[in-house]
Amino acid sequence: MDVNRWLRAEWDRVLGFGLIGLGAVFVVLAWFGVSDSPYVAQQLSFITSGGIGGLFMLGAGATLLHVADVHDEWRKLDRIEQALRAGEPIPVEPR
Amino acid sequence: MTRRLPAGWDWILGYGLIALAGVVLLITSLAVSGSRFISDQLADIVSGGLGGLVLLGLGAVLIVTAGLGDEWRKLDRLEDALPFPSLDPPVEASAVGRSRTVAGLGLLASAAVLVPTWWTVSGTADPEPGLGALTWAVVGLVVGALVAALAILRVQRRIQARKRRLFAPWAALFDGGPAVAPAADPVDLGAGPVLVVPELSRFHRNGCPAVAGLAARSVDPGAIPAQLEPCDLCEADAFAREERTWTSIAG
Repeated sequence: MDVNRWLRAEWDRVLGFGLIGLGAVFVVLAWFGVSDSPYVAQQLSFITSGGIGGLFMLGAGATLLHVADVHDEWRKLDRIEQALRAGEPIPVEPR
Repeated sequence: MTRRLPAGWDWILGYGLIALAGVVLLITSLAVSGSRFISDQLADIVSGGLGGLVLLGLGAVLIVTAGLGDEWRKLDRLEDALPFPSLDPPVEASAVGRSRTVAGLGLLASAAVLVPTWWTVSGTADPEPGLGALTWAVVGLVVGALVAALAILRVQRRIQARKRRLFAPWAALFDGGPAVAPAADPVDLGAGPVLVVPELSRFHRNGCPAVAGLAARSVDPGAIPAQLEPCDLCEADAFAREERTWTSIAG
């Protein structure tokens, strides 16, 4: 399989899953940082960078995954529309 | 003078808002880690941290609804190209836009909660009231995100339902339902009753997949309500229509 071609075609899914994984790592690291620190000011710093930053990555990753699915559906519908307008049989297989 | 926004503005603005949220969160993180005063840190977290999350939510809403809007328009074009009438009742084109408005208002309302919270947090050196206000701001943010998610889920379900109705005749074919290939000979509708469904505007032959699963009642051909039109899918219009080319998907 051509990895470069696959990455170009699936960049949104790759980035989405990557962001979600990174976000989860950030949240876990923030939890360790907060639990290990006795200083509230330092804990707030961990919450901001790791907690809120991790939430941001999780949200952005989930958005990208959702958009990738919507794009796939759109392309499938586009192929159906083109086949209909061209008068071709619809390329679907019986379930 | 009215100027229309260029196509794709929502995609651009959505990705721009998400990028802006990333920058705001980065600056906030640097500011919080550089401060030793809890009250200052709380003020930064409310304005930059939670504010950044609101920007992320708004960007995500714009992007997701832009994708759903594209899909909705594609279904419009597909419906026009279908070789048979859709079972779809007339749908308003503003369904996606309305969901986007509701989702955006939910997030903006949660952003509005941030203002008094920031005011409470930044006005005092005592972090105690600030922590309480921060809790309420987080609750507001969660509620706003839930409103946005429900609004988007609602329009997504409508799109799925629309696709089910559009493709129901094909699904019936592949589920082993009655075949609807056009008959070679003209159909004598006088030989049997036709099917009528109260909410549909067409009458159908017995076994038509367009009414599969619907509460249809049999009506004698002579008693078909005048306002009903014949279904093209099952060729209930075989009375008078001319032979037309029909794209069979049954192979």
